[in-house]
Amino acid sequence: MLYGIPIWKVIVDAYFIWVLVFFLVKFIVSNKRMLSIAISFLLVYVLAYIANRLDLLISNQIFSYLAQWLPVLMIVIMAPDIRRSLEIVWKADTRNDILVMGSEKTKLSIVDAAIYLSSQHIGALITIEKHNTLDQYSERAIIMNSDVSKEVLINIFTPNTPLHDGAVIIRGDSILCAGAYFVLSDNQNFDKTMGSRHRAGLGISEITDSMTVIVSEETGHISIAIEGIMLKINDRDKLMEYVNMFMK
Amino acid sequence: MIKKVLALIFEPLRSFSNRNFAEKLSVFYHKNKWIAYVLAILLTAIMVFLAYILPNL
Repeated sequence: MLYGIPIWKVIVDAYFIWVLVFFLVKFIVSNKRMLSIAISFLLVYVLAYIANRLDLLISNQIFSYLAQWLPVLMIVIMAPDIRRSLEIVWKADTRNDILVMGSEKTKLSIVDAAIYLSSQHIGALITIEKHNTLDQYSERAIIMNSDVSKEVLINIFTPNTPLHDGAVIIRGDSILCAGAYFVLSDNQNFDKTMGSRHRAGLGISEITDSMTVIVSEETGHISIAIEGIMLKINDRDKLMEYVNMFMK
Repeated sequence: MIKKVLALIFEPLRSFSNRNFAEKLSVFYHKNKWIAYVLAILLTAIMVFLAYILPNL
């Protein structure tokens, strides 16, 4: 007994609360915009509490109105994000425990394709998956499940073809999908003129442990995005070195 | 003078918003998924304490 209440009741109650809190935490933290809204809410509620405790006449009234209406406002404004977060909450945590990285042939194909595309000034976005799954992006893209080869990669990114605009996701030795769209990075430290392809590559590197090879359509330069950092690659050997380091 | 007063009011808010807490937290969560479990346990423990133990202290 815990203060006159049967202990099993406390345990069951705690378990139910834990489940609810866990889904709530996952729901809020899984989406950057939801999280920033939640932080603003927290600020408003803290201010409302202070105004209430100090019995501030005007602030107390305004903040109590705000505190009441904020949840409704949130549902109206954030409807698409709420839907997305709810989808994520119900999905299993699909972190790959058994990591299968590509073979030497796959690495060579990626590097050769990137060098060729760069020489032809053809834009490309090749994301190599590591531990964090990229299923949520591949589900909305065109599933390929084909072997990685230089020719296929070049063909995917050839302009005016249906798949050239999105990203290719590589898992192990196969091309999982093409035409995938990532959330763009809103990192303020990067050049504002940086294109959406580079921002997409950077965006996916910020939220997962993947590596993305980006070929600029305008300049033909090759960059890689990893851990939220973008590096310009000058030559084939350097690109091979990075791909080798990442896929070992 | 007015500029200094305004700066005094807005500077804490601006520095708070410039720190990008949401982005940092979101990135940290995506790389350490276990944090959701830890946070849920902590919040549950706080709620159980507030509901069952604190009123009887």
